[in-house]
Amino acid sequence: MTLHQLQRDFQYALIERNVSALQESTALTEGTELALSIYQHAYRVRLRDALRSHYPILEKYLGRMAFNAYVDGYISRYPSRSVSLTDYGDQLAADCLAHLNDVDVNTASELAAFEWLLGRAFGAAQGAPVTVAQLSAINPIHWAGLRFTPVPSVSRHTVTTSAVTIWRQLKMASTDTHSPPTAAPPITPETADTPTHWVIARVDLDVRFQSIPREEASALDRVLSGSPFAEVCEPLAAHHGEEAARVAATWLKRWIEAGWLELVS
Amino acid sequence: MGTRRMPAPIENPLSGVGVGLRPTHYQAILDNAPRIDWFEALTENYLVGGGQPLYYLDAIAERYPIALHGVSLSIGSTDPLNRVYLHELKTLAARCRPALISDHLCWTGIDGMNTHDLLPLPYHEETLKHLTRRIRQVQDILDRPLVLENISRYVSFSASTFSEWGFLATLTRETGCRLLLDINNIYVNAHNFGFSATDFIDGIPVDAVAQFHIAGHSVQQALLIDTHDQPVSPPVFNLLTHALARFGAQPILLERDDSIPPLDELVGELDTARQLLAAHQSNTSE
Repeated sequence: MTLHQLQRDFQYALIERNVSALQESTALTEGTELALSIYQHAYRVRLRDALRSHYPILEKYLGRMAFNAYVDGYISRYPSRSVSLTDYGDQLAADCLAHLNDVDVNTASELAAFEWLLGRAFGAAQGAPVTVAQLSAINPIHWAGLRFTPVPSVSRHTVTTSAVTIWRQLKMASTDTHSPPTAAPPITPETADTPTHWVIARVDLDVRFQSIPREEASALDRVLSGSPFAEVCEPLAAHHGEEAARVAATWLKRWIEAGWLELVS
Repeated sequence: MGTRRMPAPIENPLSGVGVGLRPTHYQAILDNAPRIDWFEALTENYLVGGGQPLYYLDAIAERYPIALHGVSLSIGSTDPLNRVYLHELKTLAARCRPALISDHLCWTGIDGMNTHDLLPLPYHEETLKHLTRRIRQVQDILDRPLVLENISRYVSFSASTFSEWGFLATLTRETGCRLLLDINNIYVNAHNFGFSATDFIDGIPVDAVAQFHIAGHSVQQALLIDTHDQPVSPPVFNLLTHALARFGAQPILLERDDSIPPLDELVGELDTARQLLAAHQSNTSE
């Protein structure tokens, strides 16, 4: 048996929990049932622990048993292809929608997406946020063509459920060391009356999030997608008339002061 | 295997006793400047763009010598070498200037997957040729000798034709790579497979070892499991004494990956290793 085939059979035994090919090959010395079960167990525990680390509030929301049952399926559907466990679990928010049971899947999915973005911000590069002074030095006749990109830690998240409220409450409860980790979810999810719009960003070393109004969020989304500043202003004219440029400039100044944007051109 | 330029032996600036760098200890290290000689950072934790991991690595690397210890090189995999990973590793090394760069003599996945486990290899000619080629490639890319750790394992392969130590000895001769000798792993494997741990140590070339690891293990039915969640056991310290006698005062690292105690507690445990090191140095100077 080649080394390549041996590794295929071994990996199959771990990921698919099926040792038949490996044992039939007689590649292993005898008496390996316990040993293989150790590898199989360690494989799943390691990935499960990574998901628990990335989604601690989702785990509290679902309860540990339900979380473990769900992520066991996730691990089967998504073997890791990442060098680092830090990157494992990126499909979970979408996967929740199809594979979670006995829970409001939309809330769970939005909660998962929110937690994932918080984690991404944690280890993102610092970037080179543009300053108000740098922007002020640009001749106003060039402003219409200015383009920006988000600094690496910045992301936008629109929520249609009470996921962020749940996140906050469970996060606060998690600092109470008397709360058992298997506590049932204390919050009944509700669909928010109107979607809420969030910006997640790291300030120095701390990850923070804040909500912004819908209209501002739409404008920010256009900026983050690379639209020139003139195209950010245009849709505002219907509501703000001649004030559109001033409104957009006010928002832009606030985003820059928050350190969310890098200047592209 | 033919002749080939070997990487120049490394000047090992590490000495004394170190601890695995873990996030839970970051602030205590900066606040208290504990009496630890060096830290070993888990490479993959720092292959990120920024934020707390790199902030603390930079700050601690200013105060202490650092070694980088990886778990995803997968040097034994039959997949192609991950050159993106190696490029990122080299960039990280340029940033924190580690005294050593180490990983494990294992494979972690195939067909693009990563089990994130340190999986065993059969010790035979095909593996030897495969590893020799890849270790040379990695050393050329990193421009320094690679340091490889012997892993704990729970299976052995019927096709193996070398003892584990005979395989390691041959590999170091062929490639010029160095060994990170994990004393706990030797103890665990010796128990699980019924060989003599001292035979293992005595079978490794004296000049091949660049570092020691010590850690704790657990018992599961008939097997010892390398769990890194316990204090180092007395037999492992005894084996460390034997290793110090053979390989000299190589730097010693205490690993703890689970049930991580406060730094003060680890420093206390580290003192045992420090005393063994001092006793060895005292004996050799007499």
